[in-house]
Amino acid sequence: MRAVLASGVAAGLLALLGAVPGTSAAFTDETAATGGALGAHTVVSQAQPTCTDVLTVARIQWVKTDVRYDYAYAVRHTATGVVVATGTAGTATPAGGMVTLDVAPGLLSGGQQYDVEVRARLALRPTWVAATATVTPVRHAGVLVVGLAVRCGHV
Amino acid sequence: MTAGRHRASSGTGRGHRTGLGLAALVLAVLACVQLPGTLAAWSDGSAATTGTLTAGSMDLQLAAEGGATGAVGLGTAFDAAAITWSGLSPGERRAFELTVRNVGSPPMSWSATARQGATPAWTFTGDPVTVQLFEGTRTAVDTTYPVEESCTGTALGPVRAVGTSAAALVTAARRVAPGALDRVCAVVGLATDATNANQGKRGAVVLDLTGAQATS
Repeated sequence: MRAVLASGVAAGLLALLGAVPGTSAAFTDETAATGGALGAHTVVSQAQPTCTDVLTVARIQWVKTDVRYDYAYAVRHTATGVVVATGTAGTATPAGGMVTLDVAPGLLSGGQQYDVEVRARLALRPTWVAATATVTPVRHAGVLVVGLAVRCGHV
Repeated sequence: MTAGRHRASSGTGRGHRTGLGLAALVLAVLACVQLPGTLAAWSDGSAATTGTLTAGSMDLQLAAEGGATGAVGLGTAFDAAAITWSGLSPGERRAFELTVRNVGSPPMSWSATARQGATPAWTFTGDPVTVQLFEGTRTAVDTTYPVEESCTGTALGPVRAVGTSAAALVTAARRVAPGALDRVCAVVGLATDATNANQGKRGAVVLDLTGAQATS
């Protein structure tokens, strides 16, 4: 009797297995691969430029510290804060080379004082700029022998 | 003599028939009573013991270029410290070679996602770090600005920004036979539109790889 029952149960299970869909279980292995530090560049400001009177211009110079940089400059009227000239310097200067900016009297008004603001930035991504800028004071003046000129410093 | 033998012989036959009749009657009575019969039967059982049954295992092994080989064992983390850069500016990217090996027994299909790591703490503003996986190896080391390294093979998925949640890097899971390996290349960069606020910021990327038994 037990043998008959066992046979019946086995047959029933087989029939049941035949009707049950196969499972989709599968072995897995998960791994977290943690990379090292990723750090973005920080644009570094140039050192305070030197300023030299050369004939009719005030020659402002500094060292380019990173090949990725160029420098945006703005000449600002000291009293009003109005920017009277802007431009880019040092684009073709190699790293370690001297960047030269000559401030000529053409755009400046006589007898006035100005500040030349220079800020480092990424040449290809100019929205990335140094946190600080250097400021070099100059003035527009009449000079004997050479006539109208820009000189270093304020009076 | 002959007749006597016949008689004697005749008397003996009647007694035998009577005995047979009684036996038949007993059997008939027993049959009517319907005594339960036993179902006992001869049988033979045999235990067929198999050899040792060992389940297969799913296991992937990682190797980073210039770094260690590891991740063997289920859920084992992998130190991918070789995936690192510093001083990157917007639009720059570096390529890192990885090897995914199937050291398990069944065929494996693997996929990967990327997310922000915990160490160093993520200080980038927004999600300016990007990751993309390719087949093959790095094309060349680029040391000139802008650094724009690439890989030899086709992309396994789109460029993904690395955020706090997992971003899928592989569009179609990669199948690797037992013992075989898959050479891939991860390009990790800084998005061209990364804002100025990301200067000097830091973070790390975690690549989560899942190897699953290939069932078809």
